[in-house]
Amino acid sequence: MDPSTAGAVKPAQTHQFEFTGSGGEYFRIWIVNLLLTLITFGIYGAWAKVRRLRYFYGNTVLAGSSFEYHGEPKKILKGRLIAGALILPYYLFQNTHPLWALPFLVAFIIALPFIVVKSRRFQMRMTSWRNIRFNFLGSYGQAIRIYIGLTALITVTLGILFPYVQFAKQRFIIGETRFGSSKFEFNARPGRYYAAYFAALGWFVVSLIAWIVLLALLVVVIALAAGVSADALQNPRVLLSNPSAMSVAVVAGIIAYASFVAAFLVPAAVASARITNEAFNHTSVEGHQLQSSLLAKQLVGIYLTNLLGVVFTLGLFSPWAKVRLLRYQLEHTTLTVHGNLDEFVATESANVSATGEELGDFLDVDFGL
Amino acid sequence: MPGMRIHGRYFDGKTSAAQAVEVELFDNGWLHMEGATHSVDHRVADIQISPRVGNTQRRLRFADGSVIETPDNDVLDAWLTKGGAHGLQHQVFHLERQWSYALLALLAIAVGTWAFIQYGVPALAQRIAMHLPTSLDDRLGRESLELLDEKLFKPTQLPAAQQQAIRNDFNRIIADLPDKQRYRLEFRTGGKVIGANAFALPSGIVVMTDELVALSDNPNELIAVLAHEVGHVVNRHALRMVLQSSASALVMFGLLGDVSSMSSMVANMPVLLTQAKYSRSNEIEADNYAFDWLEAHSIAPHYFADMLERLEKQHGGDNESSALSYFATHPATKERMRRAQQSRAK
Repeated sequence: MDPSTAGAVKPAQTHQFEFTGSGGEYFRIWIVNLLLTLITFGIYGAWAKVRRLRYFYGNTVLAGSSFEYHGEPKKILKGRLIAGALILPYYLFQNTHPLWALPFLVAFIIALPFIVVKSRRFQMRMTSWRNIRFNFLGSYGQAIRIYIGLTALITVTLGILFPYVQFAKQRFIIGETRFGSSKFEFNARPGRYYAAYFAALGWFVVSLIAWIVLLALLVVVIALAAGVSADALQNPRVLLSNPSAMSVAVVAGIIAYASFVAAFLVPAAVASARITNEAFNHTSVEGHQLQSSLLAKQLVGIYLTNLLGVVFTLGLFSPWAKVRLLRYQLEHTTLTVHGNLDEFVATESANVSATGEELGDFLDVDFGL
Repeated sequence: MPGMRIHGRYFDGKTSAAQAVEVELFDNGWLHMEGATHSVDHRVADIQISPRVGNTQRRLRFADGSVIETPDNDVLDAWLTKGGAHGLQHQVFHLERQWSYALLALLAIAVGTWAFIQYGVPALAQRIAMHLPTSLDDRLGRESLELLDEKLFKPTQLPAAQQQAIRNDFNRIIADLPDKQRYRLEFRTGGKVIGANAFALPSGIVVMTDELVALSDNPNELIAVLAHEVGHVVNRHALRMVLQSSASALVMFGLLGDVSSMSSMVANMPVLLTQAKYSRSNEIEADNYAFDWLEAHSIAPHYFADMLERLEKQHGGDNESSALSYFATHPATKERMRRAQQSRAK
């Protein structure tokens, strides 16, 4: 019997999100995508993106049904060409005539709210579950208020407003999302965002101190083991003219860089786990409640092993890394269904261009999600 | 005649309600769908069948917007193969399906990238640089000497007669160059940081330090060094470095643009390594320019080797065969000296 129709009998039933793909399978898709993209000078990239997203959406399963990505390669290619033509002058001027690049930068900042709205709208309209499309109805006015007004205030308030702005972004991005004709309800509180970012800040300070102490010890130990005198350590000229001391300096530099990145993983994981939990646990649609139960320490483990894997395989591990992280996140996300999932109703949705989303991709626009 | 059977779930596109259906696929290109409330026939030409990606559920989309989701990929593919109804994307799926193809793709990417960065980028950069006006080189080096004078150098202490003697040698080196008016020799006191050294700015200014002049035993040694520096300018190395590093950064972006931002920090490493490699090949090219000039003017190449040897003694240590050679911007001195000797032999 279909699990969703079984849900109609009981008052509340919890469905867990699943990821049915595997790292090895995605590696093969990724490497073929990469090869075809390189030999077509990037043109296949649009097809590669669609195959990648179809793979991830198609393997994300809720209540027996997978999600579907509807983006069309030709539209995405067109969007990329337009976005590239708009951005190319900026990159060219940035290196040759920095002053001429400035108007482009200002234009992009002004266009940012429109890009966010267009991009999110494209992403949502290109997503469906059970043949019902998602949508995003956030207005440009709201986006301007958040992405220009509030964001500018972050600097003025010396960062104190940052957690509130992240909260406002998520309320906008999630709260204006529709599934068919059903609106997502987002009722998180900004106070919890402050708590999450303060915790992350605390961990950042702790990690930073630990990193400095560790590094100092490490440099001395390696240097002594390599037979470099303490004098040489204090005199950069002697250090530079001594090859074995130079090797030590390079090794220490690499370790310093790697451990610095590692030290950032802890606060990043704390912020990500807490914010995601807070946002999802206060998101519902038609009374069906989302839950997220990410644990920061498990996220740290995944981030760290992923990073090591990617570094030591020169990037070849990255498909597995992506799948591992996504699987952990999805398997800690549930939907508690009150009633059943059969009653969502579709709405007519107009065509939407991919230019906004591709501009957003080029500019690495942050939704705050 | 019975057809192949797949099962799936039907969604009408109006609500999210699922309906279990059985679909029978016939050899004549028709299919029959049987569900609790629907029993219809369709022609394969009238339905859109999503291309296969991994083992994700396929969708059969009908003209009215309704959809069948089915996990029975293999049966569906067998039917499509029989009817010759597969799209081009199915060829991509065949590549993605097998590890042997994936490993071949990996090999092709690795070899292709290596060859392009090793040979393609330098060759392209050289071709492009030789078509660009020298005013571009001047732009690269215009403010450099003023900046160096301010930060590092002190005025030269060399007697005017000695300066003139070296200048005469320098003029001999540039005598046959078509744009010799661009070249100029400057003397400076290097001080603690620079010491005995010589280098060329892309605009054609060659700077030699008093310490280097003091270190030399023979005017021919200085001629060898000057010819090497002129070689850098003639071969437009500064401009080529700019072109090459932008090109290799672009290649790395193409390769790793797909990778998340955290790991793309790692991408800086190969770019740095290729920079060092390009720099070493520039030194070799400048060395060759010097050897050729010395030979054409009947000066023994060992003077170049002698100078290198003395410079290295002064800087202390030998960087040959150390673990760092891959990071080094100059070839190992022993190697350069050996090449100088070989140049005499031929």
